Amino acid sequence: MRTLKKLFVAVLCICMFASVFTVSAKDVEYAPYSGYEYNADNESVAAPATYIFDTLITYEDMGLETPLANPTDIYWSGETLYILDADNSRIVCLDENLKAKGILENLTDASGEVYNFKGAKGLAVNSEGEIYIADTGNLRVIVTDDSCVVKKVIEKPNTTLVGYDYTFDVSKILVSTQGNIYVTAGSVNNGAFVFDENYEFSYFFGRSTVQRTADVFLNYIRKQFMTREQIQKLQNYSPATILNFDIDEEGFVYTVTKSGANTAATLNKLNFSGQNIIKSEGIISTYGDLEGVRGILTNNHFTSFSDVDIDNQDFVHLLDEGRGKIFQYTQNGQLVSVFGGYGTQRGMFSKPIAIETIGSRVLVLDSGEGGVAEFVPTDYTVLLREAFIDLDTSDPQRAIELWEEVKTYNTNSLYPYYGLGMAYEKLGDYKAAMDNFKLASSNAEYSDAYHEYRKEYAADNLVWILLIAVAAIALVVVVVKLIHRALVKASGNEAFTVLENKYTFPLYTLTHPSDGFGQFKYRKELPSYLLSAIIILAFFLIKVYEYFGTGYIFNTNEPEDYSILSTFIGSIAIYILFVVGNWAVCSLMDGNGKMKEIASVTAYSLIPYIVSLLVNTVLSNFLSLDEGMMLNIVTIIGVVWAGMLLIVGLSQIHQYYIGKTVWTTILSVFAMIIIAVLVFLLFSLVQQVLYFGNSIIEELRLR
Amino acid sequence: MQGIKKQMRCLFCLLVAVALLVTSASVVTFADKADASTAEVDEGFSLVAESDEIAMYAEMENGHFYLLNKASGDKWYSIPQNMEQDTITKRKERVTYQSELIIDYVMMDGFASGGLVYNANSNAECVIMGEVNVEEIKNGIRVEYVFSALEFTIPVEYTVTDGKFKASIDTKNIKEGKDCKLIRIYLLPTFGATMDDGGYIFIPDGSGVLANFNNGAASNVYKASVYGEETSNKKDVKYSNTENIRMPVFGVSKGTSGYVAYIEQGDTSASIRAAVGNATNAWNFAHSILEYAYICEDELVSQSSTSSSIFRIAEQKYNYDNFTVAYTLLADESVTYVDMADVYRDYLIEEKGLKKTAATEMINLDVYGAVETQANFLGIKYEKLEKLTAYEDVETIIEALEEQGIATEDIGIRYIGWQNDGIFNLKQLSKSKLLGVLGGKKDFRAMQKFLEEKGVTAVFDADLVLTRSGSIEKVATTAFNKKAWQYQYLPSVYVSKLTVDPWVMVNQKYLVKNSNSYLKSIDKTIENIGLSTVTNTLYSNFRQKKGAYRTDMAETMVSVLKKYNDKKYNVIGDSANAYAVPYVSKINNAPTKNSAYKMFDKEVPFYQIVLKGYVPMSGGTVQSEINRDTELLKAAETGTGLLFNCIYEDATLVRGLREENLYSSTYTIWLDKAVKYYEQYAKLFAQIKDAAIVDHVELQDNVTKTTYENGKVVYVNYSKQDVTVEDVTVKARAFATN
Repeated sequence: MRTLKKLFVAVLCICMFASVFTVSAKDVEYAPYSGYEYNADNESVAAPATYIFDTLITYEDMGLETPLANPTDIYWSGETLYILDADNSRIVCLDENLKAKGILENLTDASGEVYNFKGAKGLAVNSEGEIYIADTGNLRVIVTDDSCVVKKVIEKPNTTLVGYDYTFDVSKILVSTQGNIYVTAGSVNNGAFVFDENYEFSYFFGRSTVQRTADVFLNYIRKQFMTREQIQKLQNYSPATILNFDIDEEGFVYTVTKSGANTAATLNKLNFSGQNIIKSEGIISTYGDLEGVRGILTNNHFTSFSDVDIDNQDFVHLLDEGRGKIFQYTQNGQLVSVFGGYGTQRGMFSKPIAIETIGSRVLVLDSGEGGVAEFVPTDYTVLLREAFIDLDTSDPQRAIELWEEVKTYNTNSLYPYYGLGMAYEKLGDYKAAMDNFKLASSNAEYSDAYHEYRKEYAADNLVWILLIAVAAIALVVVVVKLIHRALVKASGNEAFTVLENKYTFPLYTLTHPSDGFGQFKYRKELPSYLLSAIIILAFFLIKVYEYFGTGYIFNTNEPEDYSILSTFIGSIAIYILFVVGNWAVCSLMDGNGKMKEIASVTAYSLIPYIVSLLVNTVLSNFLSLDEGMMLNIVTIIGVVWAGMLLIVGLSQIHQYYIGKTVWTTILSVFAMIIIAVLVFLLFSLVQQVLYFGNSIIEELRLR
Repeated sequence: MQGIKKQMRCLFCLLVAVALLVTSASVVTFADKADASTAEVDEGFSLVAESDEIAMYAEMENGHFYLLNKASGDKWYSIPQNMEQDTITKRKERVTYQSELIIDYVMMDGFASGGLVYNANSNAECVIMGEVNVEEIKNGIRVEYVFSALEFTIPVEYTVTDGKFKASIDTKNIKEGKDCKLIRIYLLPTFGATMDDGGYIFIPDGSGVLANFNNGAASNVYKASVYGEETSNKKDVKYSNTENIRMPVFGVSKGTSGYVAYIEQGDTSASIRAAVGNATNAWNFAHSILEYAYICEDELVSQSSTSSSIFRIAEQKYNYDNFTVAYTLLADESVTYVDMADVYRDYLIEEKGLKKTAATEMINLDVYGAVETQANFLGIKYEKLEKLTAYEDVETIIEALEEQGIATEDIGIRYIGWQNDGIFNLKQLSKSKLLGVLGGKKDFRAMQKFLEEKGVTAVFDADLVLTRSGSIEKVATTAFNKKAWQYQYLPSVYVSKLTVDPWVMVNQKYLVKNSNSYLKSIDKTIENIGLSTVTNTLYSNFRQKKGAYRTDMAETMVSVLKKYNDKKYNVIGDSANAYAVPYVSKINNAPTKNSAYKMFDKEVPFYQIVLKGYVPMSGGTVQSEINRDTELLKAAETGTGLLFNCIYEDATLVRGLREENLYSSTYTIWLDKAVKYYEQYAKLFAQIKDAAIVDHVELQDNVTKTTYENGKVVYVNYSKQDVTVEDVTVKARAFATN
């Protein structure tokens, strides 16, 4: 009786323990990693967390008896999640709740031979449930059915395409709906082997195209001016190895490739013929982290993709082995989510090696933790994904609702403003579209909306615009007349022309350079330091105005980055350098020009260019992006005109033939460079001395 | 084949069940026997101290001891028992585990360039060498651990006073040699350590977490500095986001027995460490660490851009006479973190003067005034104050809330960045100056009048701690006499963000000076002052000769808070550290999260359980929540208020600034949400706002039950399915009451 009572108490105890002490976390809604997005300047900006860690499913949670030993790949077939448990020579099959529903082990062929894996790396399953295993160490692909009977072993194909003595070290595997089998091999960089449904080798897929020589040369030059990091981010110019791939429902193959130890892996989207159709801007990869690490963590912390997965909504997931992160992109390369990292907090990894998605759930195989980590999207991400999916749909009202809700989570993001801009544009509310595109830093789209807006505005206000234009022209005429009258009065001469006053003389040289600058030789009052200084000062001020005043669409300048020094160098300093350089060169080459004359000719000649700058800057406020050609035309006119004036003017004052003028002008440019280099040398020498002194003081102080 | 497997599995289950039965049966027998409180004294031990609750027995030759909980008969050993049953832990660690003290030290020879830290334990260095001096003192024993090889002597007193067991390092009498310097002392690292399952460790990380015994986490050790890591040390890179410890408490529950320990003296210079069993460690334990001295690191960058580290021990050291940790033994049919919170709350009330403050508002707004941005006029850079919320905009916002049906008495605002340099001090704050860009004095007074009429409590926040400039004589420095710059980190790669000005903390002397002069200068209409940074930031000033250790700095902080209290100002804290709690009349942003280490199993609102009913609180900002309504649910779970970040202007203004976390804070964006929350929660809030929490339990996954002292019960369902618990149906992601 007593024992019975004890038993009862004990059972009660167990129940109590079970209820109080089961391992059950209240969904910890905390992400040890920061959410972020990149802005238009490729700077990371804080955002809400996008995915949070749900659970780590270990062999026990799956319902297995032995732990996973070096699991290397996972594959979701639509109803079964296969885990390649390499060192156990088995494949674990899980249902969508990640509970074991079967184990494939002791693979045997018809002759009774048992197949064990050796460092197997890849796994794929076709629609009939046939399983393909890249048995890397044994240099073969094993094809088996779901009852562990080996149907076929694919071994090294004899192909002259890569020569005979390569190693068939198969690594990742993919099966298309047509039954083609794609196999990568670590030591072959010709693309992926493709085997047909009869397991016969047919061709190489996704072979990286060889660059044209001119491109390679250009890039070589470009590289000389790049930082190490930029070079590492450069897309590959040598044949790349396909590290991993995935295929979407339409049959496009997404690959991550890598061409060398120090280069970042990149994403490609290949069509049936193996052509890359990924949307990518410029030569710098836009996938992965765009910010580098200074200082302590220099090595091995670059983005380096090792797996790719396309979910059923066509979002692209990339596993970054370098930083242990997962990136999620839209088809247009917009970063939806980034999460993970290396660490000991929930949601961080110790050795993530493969990813799969089941709907919006992201599964990461972490061989360091010996299990599959499951992540679920936060409410913010669910909404953001939905909004992206609806971005192109025809219902702008719905899009506005969604993006407005996204804004309640994240106004730092550019996407809601982009989405709202698109929606308003569709609704014909171009002003609202412009405002939103501006907040989305979307220049091209802003320009389009502006174009439409301007059209509407012009149609609505045609009368006013015409009136203002007429008034402006009238004003200019009147002002010119007034000035002329004042000058006439000052000179006391009724037949006054610009020729007579040295301050209006540049207006004459604009159209009569040969005659005008020729007069310098006998009218000593014409060359003027003061007037030159005024013109160059105006040049400087207009340059400053150009930096800040260029219209939003054309202005790529960052006000925060503005340095008055660079404007100074670009205007005043370069002017002085040229004048001094030309004077030095021409003094040696029998030129008759004096310093004052050179200074004046150069300054007067610059007037067309200066005016073109001003006109462009004003005009840029009213043009849309595709009308930008007009700005170029104005610039060209300004430059050619100014150049012509300069050459003619210099030849007049130095009394050279045109040929010699061109020659001495080129030499002047060299002289400028020499002077600049000398100044720079002096500067850096002083800096070095200062730095040296500083480090001695530092060393003495700290040691 | 399959059949056999199944049978095997059944058999295995049966075996496990039987094994469990047997063990629990024996536990029960033990408990039965213990009730008589005549538990046998272990061989070799003798009674050295006794109170009504606890008896302490010690081995006089080696200083090992155990405590007997007289009510329940539980024994708590200073070092693990049954070590021979441990087949997992490595031998070297097993030796370490049998120590009452572990020390970290450095050898001065080569330290400056190597920075190596070694450790030693009392078992190997003192007990086995026979160099432990134990003497009986009043209420306990005094043990002198002599690490003769290292020339350390560390005296520790173990006593039973006021029904508590206290372990106290006699820091005044620590002896250090010339060659070795003491860095930290792990006090009773494996006290009450157990290999059993069925229990957990309470860790005060963030709002509080539980780590189940033997949960198998691969990284199974937690260690964090109480009140945050020392910031006066070189650091321009971090690795992830973590939360700070805000209360110096830890505890262990073994189901029906347990203990809770709080650091009574020296909490401001301590760490808490805990470990759970996994594949390489069999033991579960928690303990405190005295951070006796700090190692500072700096970098020497040579001309070729290679850098080498250089190390120095800060001159300032732990300077109290004792480092004392008080343990309370617990026994109950189920010992939980709520019992631990009760003990700690009693301590705060009795020893620290924690008093009940009537709760106030449900809707709390952190209103941000002006922010300094980099502006550029024709290439000339200057700092420009950008308006986020002007004084008159505050009125607009309150009116908008009122119009939607929120009673103005239920609104509290904390105005941040309303004076001087805006949100982020450029110069040290020593004098309050209203801002013209926000409307100037006239608008300010009009706003004050408006708020008073409407019954809105207005708190004006003053950041007396952080500054972006100031001479080295006025700010905290590292041990290398450099300003202790703090950085904003890039969210992508966690290195310092160069486009945001770094900042530094004001030193102790100027903190006092500035706070006094500031007090004299504030507008006379102000009654409530927010001293966020004074209540949540702790640091040292490692300046040679003129510095202050963390302990001194905490005292300075408390003196500032006292001064403001004496002048009859209500002081409002922000995630306040324990030492500041008794001086604040409200805490905004009370911690609701934790660092989420993999070794944690559950999060618990320990901070709130301790303080609810005593200090009014609001949780984290609604904008910081990841999933909809999380902060509302957390508020309902603990009876606390809601907090919104609030600005008037468009929130895109903050992009790229240090304040970029203020995204989505424009009031029009969250107004509807606030109204909805008010409708859902206001009635309940009114009933529980002043009530202390008497019980808190997680009924099932993601469903909690909180019982308040007035009998009100609140069920919160965090899951995405409706649940029925105790005959109450709780909707998905919602709460219900009895």
